[in-house]
Amino acid sequence: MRLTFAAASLLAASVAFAGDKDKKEKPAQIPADSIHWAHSWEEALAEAKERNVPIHVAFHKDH
Amino acid sequence: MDVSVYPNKDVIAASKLCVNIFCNGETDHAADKKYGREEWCENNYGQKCAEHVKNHQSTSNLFFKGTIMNPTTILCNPDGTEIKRKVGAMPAKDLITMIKEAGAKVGPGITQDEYLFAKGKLKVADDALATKDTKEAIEALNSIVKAFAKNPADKVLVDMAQKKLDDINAAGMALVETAKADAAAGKVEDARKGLKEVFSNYKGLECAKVAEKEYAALPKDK
Repeated sequence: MRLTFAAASLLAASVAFAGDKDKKEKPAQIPADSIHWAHSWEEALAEAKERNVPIHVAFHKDH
Repeated sequence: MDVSVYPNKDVIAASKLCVNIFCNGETDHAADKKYGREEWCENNYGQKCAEHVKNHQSTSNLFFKGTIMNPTTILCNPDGTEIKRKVGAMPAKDLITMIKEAGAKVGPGITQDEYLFAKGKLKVADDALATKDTKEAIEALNSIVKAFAKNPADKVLVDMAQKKLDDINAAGMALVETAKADAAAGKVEDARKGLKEVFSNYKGLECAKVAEKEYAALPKDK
């Protein structure tokens, strides 16, 4: 009985660990509350042409 | 601007009316941070530091001769030609005005939310077709047509979806022709199977209606 309980606990712990691992490995989402930046100038041109919208180019430096 | 302007909710809303590109050439930038499976710049979610450095390299010659003033904000036409620039920091409301004025000059266009929705559905359709799940592909493509049919600015999205639906319909029609040839050769069971597949999995398309009609015309089981 005790052995069965130990085995069940081990299984539960493994499942929980696997769950955490899955959670960590999920692809991250760009938060809705931030600007979506294009990955390259070529991508920006292609998307702007397809959407018929302007391109906002931000030249910036860190503080 | 990265602290006070870009995180502003009204600026974020306005940014959806254009394509945004961040150009920061600093190579001693902090290392990318891990977000889930991704590694991104800690200041710009969804972008690697190497990307904004590369963006700086590929665009600085297009917009500057000599010294690059930071920050500089430039609004361009979809072909990359400049509409307007502002050198130096500016309040959120000025950036919003710049974006809206450029949008009015270029547009009407597709908002980022509409575009991402449609692109997501197109990917669902492509993935479904790759696994031969025609039903799911048709559903995804029809959701684009349904969502955007009324707005002329979104015609390009509707056309993309409709083109794929037309291709699927053509594939369904080819299956119907194969089934008809089977029926003519006396292979009625094969014809029945082929036609059933089309009217079950290609619902909503012309080929499904034709398949149903052909199925009804097949000799009945004895």
